[in-house]
Amino acid sequence: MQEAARVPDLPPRAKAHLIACPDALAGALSEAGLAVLAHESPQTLLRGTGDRGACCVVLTGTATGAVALRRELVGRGIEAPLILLAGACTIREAVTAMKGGAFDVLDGEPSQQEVVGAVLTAVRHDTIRRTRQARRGAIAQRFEHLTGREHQLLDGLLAGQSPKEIAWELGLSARTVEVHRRRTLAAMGAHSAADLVRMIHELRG
Amino acid sequence: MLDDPNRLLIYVVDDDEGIRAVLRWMLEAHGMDVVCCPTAEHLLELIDPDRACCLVLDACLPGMSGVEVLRQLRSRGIGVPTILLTGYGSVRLAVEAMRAGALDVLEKPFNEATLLAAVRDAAVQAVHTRKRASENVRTAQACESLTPREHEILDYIVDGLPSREIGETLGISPRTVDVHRANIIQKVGAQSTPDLIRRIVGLRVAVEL
Repeated sequence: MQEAARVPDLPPRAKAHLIACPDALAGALSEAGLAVLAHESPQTLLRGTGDRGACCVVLTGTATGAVALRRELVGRGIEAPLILLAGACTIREAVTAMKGGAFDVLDGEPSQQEVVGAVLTAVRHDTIRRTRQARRGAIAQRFEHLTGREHQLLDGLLAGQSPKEIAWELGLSARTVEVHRRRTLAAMGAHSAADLVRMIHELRG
Repeated sequence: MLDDPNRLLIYVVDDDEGIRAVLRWMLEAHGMDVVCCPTAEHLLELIDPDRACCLVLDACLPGMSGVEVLRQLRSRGIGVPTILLTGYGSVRLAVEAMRAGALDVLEKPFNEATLLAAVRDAAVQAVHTRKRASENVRTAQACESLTPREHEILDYIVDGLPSREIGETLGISPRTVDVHRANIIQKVGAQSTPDLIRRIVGLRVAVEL
């Protein structure tokens, strides 16, 4: 039932934004194949041009700092996963960061290997998220361009109605419904009614 | 009251009898319906996906751990709003629990007000997740009864391929595909192909998130 290749390889030019992190970590991440951008503070990251492409943000700081940064990023449409290197940190603080949307929290002094592992997981997650988002965006765009009639037809198909039932409900002939059905499928780029239903469910999540 | 399906049910899972008693007393004092279980295995046997419920779950149980329970429930497509309690847990454990879908992680000893606030948040969520959960469970169970061939065909159906193309891909006639399709629809309890896809997509979304 699961699609193959759930975990894609690292996309080329995947970025890691490091905020107030040790230089050694930057080195280890470059070695792992990531483009590393070091920032002194969240402000310098936020001032930079918005991110494009798979990435991950690693912040050395507190839970409150992570939540604030995440909110700023999301507010700018950047939903990159955020990893907090929290140092000495309580369970309460870690949970606060997670509730605030952090992707991962590493406390204490994690080994470089652990941090690199967490970053790679986050970047892969971001890649999958971006692919889905792009697909959803494309479906949404086509959906918005449907005509009123096409929307009615779509509603019928979504409700599981047969073409005959749809024709009866809309007061149209079966042939006209068939024409509209084809047009709706073509407009959405779907190769069957089932495909269309799948698209709409993907759109509505 | 416990039999009224419209009332929210709170499952408390802890191997410590004393803690179960305290939690029962706290929650019942605020008018909530409580069912206690000593182990995760008990819970998984008892849990009724048709009923709006939430979970107060000890992280450290004999047998299956709290985080493992969260993963199990999710893999069945049941998203039960869960508060995880930890005695001497680590940040790592708390983060794993949150990633596995816990709503909150509280450290023992917890104070009554904090617990009640968390349970109330969970209760609000429970009402939203309930309907989806019961359908997902039925779908997941039905999927288990599908033959390997039916699974294969189901994947193509969900991808939106018509019978003709599925037949060509698998080297069987479209008629045979239609027979399989009808069997799958019947096993899953769907009304039609679109309804089948809706159910399967819904289940997959719940399992993945």
